Order: sequence, then C-alpha cells, then structure tokens
Amino acid sequence: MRWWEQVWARWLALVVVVVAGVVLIGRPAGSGPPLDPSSTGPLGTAALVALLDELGAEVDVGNAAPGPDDQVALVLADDLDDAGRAQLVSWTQAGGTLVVADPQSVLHPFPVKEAPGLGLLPAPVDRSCDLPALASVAEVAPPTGSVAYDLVPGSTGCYRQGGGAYLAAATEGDGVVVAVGGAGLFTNQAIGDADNAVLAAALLAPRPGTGVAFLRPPVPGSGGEGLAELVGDNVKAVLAQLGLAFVVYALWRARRLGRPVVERQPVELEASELVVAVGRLLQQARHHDEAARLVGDDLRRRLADRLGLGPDASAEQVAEVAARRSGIPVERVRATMAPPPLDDADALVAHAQRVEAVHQEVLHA
Amino acid sequence: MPGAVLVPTRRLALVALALSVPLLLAPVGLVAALALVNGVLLVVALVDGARAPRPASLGVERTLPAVVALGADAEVSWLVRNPARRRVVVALADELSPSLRAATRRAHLVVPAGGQARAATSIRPSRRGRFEVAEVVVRVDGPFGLMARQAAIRMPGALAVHPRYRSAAEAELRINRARLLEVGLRSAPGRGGGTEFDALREYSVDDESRRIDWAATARSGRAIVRTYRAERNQTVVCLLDNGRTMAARVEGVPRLEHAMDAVMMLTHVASRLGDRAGLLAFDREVRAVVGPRHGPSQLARVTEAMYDLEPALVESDYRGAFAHTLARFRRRALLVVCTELAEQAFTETLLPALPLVGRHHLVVVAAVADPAVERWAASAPDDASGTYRKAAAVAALAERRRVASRLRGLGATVVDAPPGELAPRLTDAYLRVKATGRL
Repeated sequence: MRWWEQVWARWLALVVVVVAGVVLIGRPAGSGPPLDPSSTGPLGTAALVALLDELGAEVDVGNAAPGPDDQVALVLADDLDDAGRAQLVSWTQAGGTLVVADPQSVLHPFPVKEAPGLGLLPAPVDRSCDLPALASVAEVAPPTGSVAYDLVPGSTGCYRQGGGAYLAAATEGDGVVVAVGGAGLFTNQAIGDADNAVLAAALLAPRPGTGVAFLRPPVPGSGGEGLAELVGDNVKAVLAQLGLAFVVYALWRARRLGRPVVERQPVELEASELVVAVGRLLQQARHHDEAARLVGDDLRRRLADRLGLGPDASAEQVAEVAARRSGIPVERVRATMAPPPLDDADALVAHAQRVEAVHQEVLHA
Repeated sequence: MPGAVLVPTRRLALVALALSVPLLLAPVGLVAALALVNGVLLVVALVDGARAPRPASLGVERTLPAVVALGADAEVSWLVRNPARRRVVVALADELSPSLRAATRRAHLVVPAGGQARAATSIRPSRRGRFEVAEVVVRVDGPFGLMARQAAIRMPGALAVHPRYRSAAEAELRINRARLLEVGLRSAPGRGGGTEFDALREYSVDDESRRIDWAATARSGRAIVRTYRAERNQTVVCLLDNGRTMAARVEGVPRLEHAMDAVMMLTHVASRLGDRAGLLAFDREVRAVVGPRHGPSQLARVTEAMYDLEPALVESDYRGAFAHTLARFRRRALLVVCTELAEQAFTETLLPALPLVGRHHLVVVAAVADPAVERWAASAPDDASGTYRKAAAVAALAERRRVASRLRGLGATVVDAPPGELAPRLTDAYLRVKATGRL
C-alpha cells in the first residue's frame, strides 16, 4: 500500500468512527422536536395528547385554525402569520377558549412581568384565585424558565407570585383567552409534577367530548427570521466595513510588484541513474546468475591486471597464478570467477562477498 | 511602455479597517454611515492617486555586471532620480532570474525632492548562461500613501554567467613546469625537451651525451650540447560534444561543465605555450566555432563562445562535426573530442566518423568518469539491491573500457578521468604529445 493510500485509509477510518459515534450517542429513538405532540421524549407532548384522549376529548393536531366543532384551542408556540392569528382571534371572539402557552405571543394581552426575578417563578405555586374551573387544581409546578404575567384590567390571575400570575385569563368577545407562563408545563417531563396534569385537563378537556384544536408547534429553526435580524445595524455596518477593508487589502495584494520571472531550467538527471535502473531491472527479473557472472568476470579482470597477466587472460590462468602467489586454493578462486548457477538473491550476495574476500586476500598476499 | 495603473496601498486597507470604529458609534443609519465614510475615503484615495508622480517621470537606472563567473558574488544596483519638488516613496522590482540567486529583486526607496537614491542587491549565480532582463516595474506612492501608480519601464540588459574555471591553478602549475623544462633550468628525464633546435650551450652533468654537438665541441675546446625546445605554433582544437549524453550530472554537475573546465585549461596552457587553440561545439549541428589563435585572450574567446551552451537532448552528429572541422581547419592539429564513452553512441556515430579525422589529425578523446559508479563497482554490499547495483556498475565500467579500447585501436588517445582530474590529465596528454613531437 502506498503512503498516500495509507493516509486516505486513516482518514476514512476516522470519518467512519465519527459517524458511528454520532449515530450511537445522537438523539434517542422516539424523540422528536421539542413540544412535538407525537414525541415521547422529555420535551415532547405525547403524554398531554394521551391524557386528553383518556379524558374523552377529541384532539385534532394540525396547523389549521380551529373549526366550529372545537371548543378549546391550544397554542404552545406562536409562529402564526397575521392571517392565522386573525382567524384564531375571530374564533375566540365567537365563543372559543384559547389557551396560549407562549409568553412572547401577541394572542394574549398580558405582558411578562419585569423584575424582580425577571418574571421567573419558583415551583410549586399555590392557586390563589377563585376561578371555579380551577377549583380542583391546588398547586402547579411550573418548570424552570416559566414566567409570570402582569394582569391587565378586567383579567383574572392564578398561581401568583410576587405580584405576577402564572396563569392569566381575560374575556375576548364571547370567548376567553388563557395565557400560561410557558409551554414547559405541558411537556412529558413536567406534566406529572404536582397538579400540572389536573390543570391541563381543567383547561383543555373540562368535560368529555370537548373538541381540542392542538396547533402543531413549529420545528425549531423553521421560522422566517434569520440570524441577521438579531444583529444590530451598527454591527452590520462594522462588518460591511471590515469586508470592504479586506477587499482593499486583496486588491493591494493582487497587484504584484513585478511579475514572476519565468526561467527554463536545464534537465537534472544523475549520470549514475542508468546504472541504478539496470541494477533494479536485474533484480526484478531475478537475473542473479547474470549478475554473478558480471561480478566474477570483474574479479578476473582485476586480478589479471594486478598479476600482470593482461586483460584477456582466461579465468583458468588467473586462478592458477593467483592461487600460486597467494596460497588460496585454486578451486576457490576459480569458483568465484566462474560461479555455478545460484538459487536466489541471497546466494548472489554471498557470492559477491566471496569475490571481494578473494580479491582482498590476493591483494595482500 | 504600457500605461501606469492605480494600485491601492496597504495603508488604504488599514485606514478602511480603522474606520470601522467610528461606524460602530455612528448615530446615523447603516447605508448612510457606510456611504459617508467610504465616499470620503474613496475621494481622498483617488486624489492621492492622481497626485502620485508617473513612474516614467522618474529617472531609473540599473547597473548590471556584464560578466560574472558561476558561483561568484556580484552586485546589481538601481538608481532612482526624482525631478519633483517633493519627496517620493518608490518601490521597484527587477526581472532577475531565480538562478541568479539574488538576495532580493525588489527595493524600496525614499527619494528626496530633486535628489536621487540608490539600492543594491547581491547575486551569486547558480547556473551558467545568458540572463536577459527586459524591464523594471516601478510603483510610486501618492502624497498620503493611500494609492500608488505602477508601471513597467523597458530597460533591456543582459548578464553573462561564465563557466567556473576550477583548474586555473593546475594550469598555471603546468605552464610554469613546461617553461622550466624549456629554458633548461631543469633536466627532463627520458623523452621530452622538444624536437626543435634552439641553441648551443656548455655541457652539464645532467645532459644526455647524445645531445653533444661534436663539431661545436671541437671548435670551442669545451663540451657543447645542442638544446631543443618544444615546437610552437601547433594547433589544438577542442571538439565539445553538446549532445544528450553531456546533460547528465556527475557529482551534481552536468558532464558538459566538467568538459568545459577541461577545454578552458587546455586552451589556457596551449595558448600560453605558444600554440594555437580553438573550439568547435556541436550537437546535432555546430553551435560555436572559435578559430585557433595565439595569445592570452584566446581563453576569454573560448569561454565567451561556451558560456551559453545548454546540452541539447539529441544525438550528437560526429560526422557533421568532423566534416566541419576538416573544412575549417586544414592544418594538422591535435583534435580533442570531449564527449561521453557511451557504447551505443560510439558504435552508431563516432566509430564510423572517426576515420574522417584520424588520417590527418591526432585525436584525443576525453570523457568524464563517474566516481559513484566506480565506488559501487568496488563495493562489497551486504544486501540484494546493492549487489545487483554493483553488477550493473561493473557492466557499465566494462562497457567504458571496451569503448576506450576500440578508440585506442583506431589510434586515438583516450583520457577517461573523474571530475577534478579530467582537465589536468587531458593537459598532461597534450604536453606529452607536444614533447614527443607527434604533431
């Protein structure tokens, strides 16, 4: 495997591990978006729907405005457009009960209570009101993050704390608008606390057969507003100016002071490359006998030169003279100059070392 | 010269960046604030650019050395004159090739009103050849430094980088030794001393008895010997192969460079000893010819003819080169062919062509041996790849020996030596030829 293939394999393995990790430790099965009526996760509202069904209410989950068969409408998060809100208000004025659990919604007239405590409520909170419909709800436990409302003239507030009310109700035409200080109370993780489920039942299904229009809350991030709406104009101006400064910088850098100088370079090839290539070819073709013959013949030539026999002296002549002068057995000298067939490359290496050993012995004899 | 263009400066980018602070505090709307701030900046920048002097109005001069030896240090300088009544900030860039190894090819200058300023850079060329510079790009800042005018000013020039003459000291040594022999301050053992009668002088103990002039001895009553000197006015022509085999590098330097060193040394020694040295460089065609001449300036002529040769990746045409040599140089000469002992090229081209010149001239073939190949051939590797490489090296050296042997068989003298030894050994071969009167 080549080095770049190894690098790619490592990166691929890392990506697989990351993806597997995300899949394994990601969102658990059954959980959907927060406040989703089909979600059984902690922030879902499937328990509320099941409760209403259990109480005999006819729950209709959808995005459309409530119809004439619906007596109660529940808005957990208000992302309606103006037309949708107008339809909802008309329906309420015609005698419906509108329960709004979004403190920022304009469907109810109640402002969020300001300090102290930024309108946040401790839990649990006593009823502290005399609305007959809530007679059975002694205390509720608003989850963290719930708010209290300031009451407006003609309205009624329950579950009060520090001058604010967690639940506020006001008439709207022939109907009623009820504002709850946050949708957290209706989630799966909170609806079982204190009398939260009783409050939900009292508001949404006061009697069997009540038609409940459950307006599906928006998926987080699906709104029409973008991040840009959160940024102030001055900050936008600074960002635009930074962009402009970068453009000027890029223009400055783009205009080189003098073009790159193109120069044709001469060929760079080592003269010994051919020898290296021939050596590799011999090795790849497993021509160890040919290589041994070359090395042995070179020994014959070197010894002939050394012994004054002339370059064309035969291996036999050279072996005899070399053996006589150095005391090396003639068979050994002869075998190094004319080796028998070799088995493999290891035998070639051993032969080459024998050749050099004989050469050194003759030189120093 | 193409027209000058306006270029924003780094200062303009910094000012634009700094203007983001007041924008953060501006009480007006987004678009209005941006338009106001950048509108003012744009107007100021354009005015600044308009007031920047045109590059052509400045006097720019470049000082470039005509000749630099390969690897030697030299200086390139620029002089800028400002005829305006206020100082100007100038940046310039010259077209110095990367192989000139300039410390920088750009300069920044502040030129006073009506004055001049100079900048310089050092160069140390890493490649031989001719380097042409066509233009200098000049950028002049406006008074506020927000905009600049930039233009290229035509300023053609050329720099010749000559080959390195590594064997200069060896050449001087051989010239001095040859002169000592010539004037008889030392005796030359064996053959030598030349063949041309020079003078009579009194016998000394180092003289050979065969040189005693008996007639002069009888006349004077003292032993008198004849002295000889080496023949002068002989012709030596170097045929420099510029083909593909000379492009390969030996010890990091192309064979052609080693051969040029040998040609320079031979030319130097021959011309200083009274002979006429010339050059013919060739590959597929003849690239340069320098006629054989006397005198110390011949080395400069030969160097000038060789410095811009680049090995051509083609097979050399020996026959054409030899035919050209015969046509140009009719007098018997020592022809030194600086080439590579490659068996294929020898068999296909040099061998058939050699009889053309062998009949009329004395031929010496000089080649650069590769020490790396010789090391591999003599090594005792303990691994398979090293052993196969040793076998290949042995085969390559055997091929060189075969080629050299066949050349000698054809009457040529062969000098096959590693870099650093080629030039001295080739010169020694020339001196032997000269001393034995073979020319």
